[in-house]
Amino acid sequence: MLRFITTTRTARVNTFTITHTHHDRAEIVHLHGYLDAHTASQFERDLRVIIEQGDAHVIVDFEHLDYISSAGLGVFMVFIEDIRKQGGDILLAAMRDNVFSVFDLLGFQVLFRIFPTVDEAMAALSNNA
Amino acid sequence: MPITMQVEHNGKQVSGGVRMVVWILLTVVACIAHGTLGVVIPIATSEAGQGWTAQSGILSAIGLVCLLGVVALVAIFVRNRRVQSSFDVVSWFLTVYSVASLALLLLGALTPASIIGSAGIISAVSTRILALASIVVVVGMIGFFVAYMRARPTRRLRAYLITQASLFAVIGLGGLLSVSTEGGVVLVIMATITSSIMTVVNAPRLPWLPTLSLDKKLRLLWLAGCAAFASVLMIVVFFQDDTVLSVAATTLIGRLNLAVGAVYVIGLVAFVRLIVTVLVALPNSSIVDRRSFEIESLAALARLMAESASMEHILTRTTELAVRVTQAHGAWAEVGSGDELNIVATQHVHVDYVRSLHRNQLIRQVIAGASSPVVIDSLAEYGVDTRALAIRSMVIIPIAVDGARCATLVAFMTADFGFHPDDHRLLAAFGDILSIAIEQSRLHASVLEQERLQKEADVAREIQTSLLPRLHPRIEGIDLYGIMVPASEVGGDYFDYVRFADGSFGVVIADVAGKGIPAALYMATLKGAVLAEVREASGPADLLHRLSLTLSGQMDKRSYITMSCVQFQPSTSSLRYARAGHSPMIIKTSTGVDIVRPKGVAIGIVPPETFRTQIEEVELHLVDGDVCLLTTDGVTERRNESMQEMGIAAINALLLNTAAQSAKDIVGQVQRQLDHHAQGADAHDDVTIVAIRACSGSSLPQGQLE
Repeated sequence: MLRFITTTRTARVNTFTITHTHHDRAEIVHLHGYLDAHTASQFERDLRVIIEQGDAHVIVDFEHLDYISSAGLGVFMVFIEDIRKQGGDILLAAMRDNVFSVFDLLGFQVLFRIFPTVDEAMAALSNNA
Repeated sequence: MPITMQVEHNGKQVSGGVRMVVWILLTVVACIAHGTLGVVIPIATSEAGQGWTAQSGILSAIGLVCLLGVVALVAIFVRNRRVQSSFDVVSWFLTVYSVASLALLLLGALTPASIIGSAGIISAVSTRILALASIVVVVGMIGFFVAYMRARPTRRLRAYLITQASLFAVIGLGGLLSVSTEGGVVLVIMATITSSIMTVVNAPRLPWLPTLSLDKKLRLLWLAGCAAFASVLMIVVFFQDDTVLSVAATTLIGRLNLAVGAVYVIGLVAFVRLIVTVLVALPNSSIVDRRSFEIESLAALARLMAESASMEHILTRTTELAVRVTQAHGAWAEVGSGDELNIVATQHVHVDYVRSLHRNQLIRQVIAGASSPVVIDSLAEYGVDTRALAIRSMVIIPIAVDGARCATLVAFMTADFGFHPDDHRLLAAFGDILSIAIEQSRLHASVLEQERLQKEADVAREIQTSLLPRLHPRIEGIDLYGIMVPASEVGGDYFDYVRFADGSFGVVIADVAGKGIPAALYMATLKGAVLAEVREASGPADLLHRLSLTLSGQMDKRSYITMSCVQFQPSTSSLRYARAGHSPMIIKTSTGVDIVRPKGVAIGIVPPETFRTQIEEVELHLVDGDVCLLTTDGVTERRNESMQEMGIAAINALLLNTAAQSAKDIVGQVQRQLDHHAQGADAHDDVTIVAIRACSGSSLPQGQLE
């Protein structure tokens, strides 16, 4: 089963796209492009829709994300509390080095589990279950 | 000057008024005298043919005075008055003339013939009233003509007026003479014919007539017809000697009826001439109407444009105008296409019907495919099955702004070949105006938005700047300097010099997530919290923990603060450093450049208890010449036009090679490095640089501010 929500926002030259696929255990959200102050609100809206409609578990695939700003990071913090209260979680996976260093510097590893690949994130979910 | 002019003006009016009163009195007196004498010395009109008698002579003379009185009254009234040649004036005159003439006829018809000409007061009074009324109508008519012609006083016209006046005098004289000789009648007829011919030749050209709308021309035609009809009746009545009005007129002055009748003949000629003129101008009426409405509608659109109304309003008005001008059976304006199709305005057609039309693949293609104004004379030619459709022909006007289609105007007819080529041309002009109007309203909106953003940015920057330290502290053994360069949109950078509970000095540097006024307000909150907590704090890690406690629950979920804090320990020439998710400190020692990165989480992303377990504090011992650099991510993430970030390596290299002798110089060098990298590209984030240089040699009194 596959569903797509696609939004493209053109902020000067940077574009940001979000697609998502539904799997047995989790919604996998794929991010593409630049996630900055101009695209963060759109990202938040889309992520809210995905979380409200889908599974309790969300895996965010950062493989194709080129850049993330502080506004983009803030979006993850909006949902984490509620989703954990419902027994779910947000797992982050497949970050590029530059994106990972931003998360790392801020100490986001204390708040989120970050995995090298989406598969490892899926495996972690299976083990938990 | 104005006063003198007014006096003159008043003087003229007064003299005019006096003259008028004199003439009214004279006329009334003459009329009464005539009436009285008429009763005392009755004259049978039938005996008029017997020639002049003393009595008839006297009565005629007094009657003439009455006539002259009326003429003079009208002359005074007409004097200095130039009647503008226009539809309103002419139609007003025709109405008044017709109504007055017909009223006079009615009066004459209602007056019993037995009263007129017989003896007695009633007879005398009613006869004089009728006679005077006839004179007033006729003289009024002449007066209007004179005033009307005077509006364009040319030499030729003046000659014409004088000739006409002379001819009227001849007619009057002929009327008088005809009492005794038949030659008078001939004179009246000759003068009437001459005057009529002159009227036809010199009839005013009426330049406004061709530009009248069809209904106004028809109204004029109808009024002129009424006036001509009234004239015919009057001519018939006055040229017969035994009608009540004729008898009444001749009672006043012998054979006055002939003169009155003659004037009506000339009037009739003028009215017939007017009818012909209007008839000639009739065929082009529809074109004139159309053109004038085209101009009106274009002007209306231009006005709309100047008002910079909403796009919806503009499109609604345009469809209204399109339907009125082209006489189309309906029109609509749409924005967008496919699922996002929005029918903004419709005229004489329901939105649902338009939507159902769009469900027809071919029609949708035709509308979407029109890249320039298109006339479709017959939808059937496009392969559209028109059996179930009311719409047969349409004009499609795509409206583009900056080359991108933003709306479409469609007008339709329920018959094939419903649109004239002019319709196409006009609607295309509508489209041009619309695209300008829409572009203008967009520009207007974007300018307003930009102004608003600019104001917001200014306010945010003001708040931010007001929060920064104004003085640099001088601390023993430490050379300290910091700057903050705000981006055009405030990025939330903050730094400050603080004093801990034990009296030692320190520096805090922070970056609030977010931009603009919200970020600036968080900064203000942060500064307040820092000033309050630092008095109690024992060191950097303690301060950061206290801040996370204070700010916990005060911040939006999306927001967080990264912060670094340094405390100077002059006694041991060391500094203590802790970091809450902030860019790490870069330190240059004699052995090289190193990055100091103790553990720590940004404030606001985890609860304070977790924060406490994560925060680490390090102590660094400095020797002379060692440099510590604190920055915000605006430094390392500074991008150039090709979006490349400067990175930390460039700073490292700079520190390694610098020979700078002061903290200020180091900050300056980092700034230059930034400018060099950016190559003029806009800064997307604030840039904050704080340099700390150990220098035990330049000992200064501790805690003194520069």
